[in-house]
Amino acid sequence: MTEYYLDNAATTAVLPCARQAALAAMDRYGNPGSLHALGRDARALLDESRRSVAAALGCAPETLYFTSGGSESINTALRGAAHKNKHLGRHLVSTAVEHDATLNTLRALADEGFTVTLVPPERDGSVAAERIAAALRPDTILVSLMAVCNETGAVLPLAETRAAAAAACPQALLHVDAVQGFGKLPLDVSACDLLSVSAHKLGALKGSGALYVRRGLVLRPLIAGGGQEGGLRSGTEAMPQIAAFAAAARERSAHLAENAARMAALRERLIAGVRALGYAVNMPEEALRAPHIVNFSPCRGRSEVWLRALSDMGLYLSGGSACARGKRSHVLAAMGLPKNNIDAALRVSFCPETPAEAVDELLAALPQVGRLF
Amino acid sequence: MREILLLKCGELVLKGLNRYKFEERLVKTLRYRLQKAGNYTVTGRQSVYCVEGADGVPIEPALDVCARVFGIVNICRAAVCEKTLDSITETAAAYLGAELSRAKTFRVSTRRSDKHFPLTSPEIDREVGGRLNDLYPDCRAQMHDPELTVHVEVRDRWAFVHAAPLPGAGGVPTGTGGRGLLLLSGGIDSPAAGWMMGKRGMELGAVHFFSYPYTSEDAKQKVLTLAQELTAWCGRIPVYVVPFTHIQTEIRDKCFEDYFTLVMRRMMMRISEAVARQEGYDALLTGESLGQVASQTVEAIGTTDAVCGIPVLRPVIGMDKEEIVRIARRAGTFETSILPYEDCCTVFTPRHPQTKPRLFQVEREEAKLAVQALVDEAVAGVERIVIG
Repeated sequence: MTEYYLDNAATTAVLPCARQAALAAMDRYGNPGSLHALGRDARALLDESRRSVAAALGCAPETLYFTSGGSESINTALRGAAHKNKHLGRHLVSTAVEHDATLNTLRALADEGFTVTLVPPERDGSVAAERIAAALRPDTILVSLMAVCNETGAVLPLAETRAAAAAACPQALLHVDAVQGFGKLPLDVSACDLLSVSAHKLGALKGSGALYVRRGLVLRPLIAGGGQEGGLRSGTEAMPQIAAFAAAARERSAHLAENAARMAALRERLIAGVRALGYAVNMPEEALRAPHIVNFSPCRGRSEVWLRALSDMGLYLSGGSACARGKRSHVLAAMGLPKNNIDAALRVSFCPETPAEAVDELLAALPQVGRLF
Repeated sequence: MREILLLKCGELVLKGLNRYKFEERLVKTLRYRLQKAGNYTVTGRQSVYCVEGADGVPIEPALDVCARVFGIVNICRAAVCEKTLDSITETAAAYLGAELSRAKTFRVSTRRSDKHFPLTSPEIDREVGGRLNDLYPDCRAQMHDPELTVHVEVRDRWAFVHAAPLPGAGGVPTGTGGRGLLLLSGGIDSPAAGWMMGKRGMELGAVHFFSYPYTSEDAKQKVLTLAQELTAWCGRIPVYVVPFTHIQTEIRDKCFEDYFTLVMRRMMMRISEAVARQEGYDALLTGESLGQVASQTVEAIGTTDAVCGIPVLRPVIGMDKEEIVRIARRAGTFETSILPYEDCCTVFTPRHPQTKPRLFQVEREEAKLAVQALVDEAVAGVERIVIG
């Protein structure tokens, strides 16, 4: 049985170049903080890795901080920004389609006395710039948006939000959760103050990520310690992960446009196919779709049953987000979709290496599985 | 000081001429389970069994095992001593010294099964009580409702001293109540029902209906875990996993929705009965509780019983959910039961299930299925997994 991995938004296979970089970094085992030759060698590798990831993001190396992953980056950014600006106001704006890393951090901040406004999505999963603009207040100090929604693949209006915030609340910091956007879409870090990314969504290792912090902005760290990463993130640098992250970032950014076009073609082919089967497509118009994510629902049965049956046929996808593990998707619920759609919703996510026949196999398998219901 | 367990049997002593069968079975169970816990010997007289570890083997693991052996009403963790007043007093002072220092009032309560011992039970009470009172003057002797009762047992070879007995599992020994096949779903009620019948001496098997891919491997694993938890009380449990998907899809495709659950329950009963006959079980056991769900009204139970030719025992039929939960907690199955995996009963739930079905209506729906062929197919596909 051929296996097709169609759950790249959950995590990706490790790219050969990333694997090699990680293995090589294990041999260069010095502590980047040590003053001897081995330490200097590790420091050189760290600096080089930082330059690579920064180049892929289009930011200066000294504005990029390595972390343990997307969740830590988001926590650091949101808590740091909220506390930094709390003397200017206590209002935070985000959207109802964010990842739980954001939503639960905002909940914790709400418990500390901040007020949070979550902007609802449209029925197609897009988030309207006007709705975000309408949520901004003079005392808004932080706006946090995803670049790409991990469940629907909707691209959120970052530039418009930036412009609206500049007018309505110039003191507000803008954080972008680019975990699903990095390496898939061109990102403009100059349009935001903070930006979070994760390595394992990009072909590198789990347990690794980064946070971009605009030059001049100083945040309170979550982790105190030896002062690594400019004091923002203490702890000896995870060199194999960081080196792998850099290798994957180089590889993905070098081919970003062609990879995106390839995945977008698969996406449209899959969307046309599931539409022909009469399934609901839970995605915005084509211009607002990230290249690698398709969300659809046969509107009967339950996702977990579909997933088990498809898994037995060698097709690995997910229902909603992999983190939710069987819980109902808060994103699809916020979109106001009917219960039968949400309960059976499926998410397919591609990587640039996904073969075209994976889509054909899936489209052939779906009606077979549909006979279960 | 030698420490042992004295295990007291309850209603076994009321049995007549076949009492020895119950006792044999109990001792066999004790020896079998204890052998897994360590090097212990079991000796028995007069419906009291004595568990003693080899030199240096602690008694606690044996206590854990014995507390889950049905047929034992209470367990005394006791110190062994010579049958002299001096030895009994010394041992009581050493073994229960902490309790005697803490308590304000105490009494001594003696049982003397060795009638050749020179003092009677009340005389031993007075004598040992007096000497202990001299040693612990702050602890006053009080016959009625004292804080601490020092139990002295004078038996054939030794005397024993212990404080309050611990409750045993109760019931009658496993294997003396026939063999029952439990319909084990993964919920709270069916393991509790199995535990209750195990307590009445039944040797258990379990049948589980598996509806892959509608229910997951996790759900099946959960049922095997529940069976594992019951084995601590009931011993080895074979689990018969029945492939049930085809039957469920047939019911869904051919029967009127309101009768899905009833037809499904009747199919389960037929298959369970076939497995029971094939594997030598005398009865089916279910966790049904009257009126708890639509298929557990008396009318619905009537329609499911109609297809079953062997007794169906429903030990929790008259219990409230809280009472069942209490039993499940005692059995140690509750925490597993509440893990969130769907079981076969909720795959195709009717929107408006029949709560007062008439037998002819259910039979009419069922006539749309090739009942015998489906039952045969399911029974042929049974997977037997022995737990424990």
